[in-house]
Amino acid sequence: MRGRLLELCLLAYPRAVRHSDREQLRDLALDLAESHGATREAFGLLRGGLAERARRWRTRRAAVAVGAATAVALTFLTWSAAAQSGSVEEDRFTCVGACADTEAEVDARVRDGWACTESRGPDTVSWRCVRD
Amino acid sequence: MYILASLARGELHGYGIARDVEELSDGRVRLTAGTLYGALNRLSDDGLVEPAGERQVQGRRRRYYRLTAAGHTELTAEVERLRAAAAALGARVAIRPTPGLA
Repeated sequence: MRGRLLELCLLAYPRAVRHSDREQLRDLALDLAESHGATREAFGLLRGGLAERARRWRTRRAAVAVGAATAVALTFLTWSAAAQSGSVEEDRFTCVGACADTEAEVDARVRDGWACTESRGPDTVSWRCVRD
Repeated sequence: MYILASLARGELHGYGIARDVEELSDGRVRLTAGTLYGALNRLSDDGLVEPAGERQVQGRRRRYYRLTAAGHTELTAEVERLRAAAAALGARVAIRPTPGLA
């Protein structure tokens, strides 16, 4: 009778615990029931089982939260990398009168792979250099 | 704390721990199997105790536990903290109250 009651209370524990520790828990509860009484042990098993279920649920929820946060971070990093690869660098140069230094700078950009377009005004010369 | 203290003397199974805790606490702490199982799992997760195998004793399957080095350190620190607190409180109790001091 006592054993049957404690066996029933063990159902409060998650299936995994019952699978691995059922015998040990039942024997311990039977031992303690001899000095503490079966009712006290039965309530102890019910409380312990529900607490174990809650603990496992919290752990699972935390794991899901970490997974979701990782997924969001990875999505952002992927999007950021994709956006970065499509961006264009742009520099503009303008000079008035003697333009030797500016032209040298523009030539250096062109050698570095920049595409520069020149536009001349009445007094100024401008370049727009871009690089993917 | 009582569970760590009961394992300080060596390996014990769940029933032995429950009996020792009751004795250590002068009967004030009486662990049920459910409470003890949860506490031992938490202490194992924290690395303070570890399983030390299972043995069949008097026809019943007993799982033994032992204190880890971290568990011993934790127990020592906790005992020291309680000793310091008791000393501070004891010194306060020893002071005779001054009449009229609010």
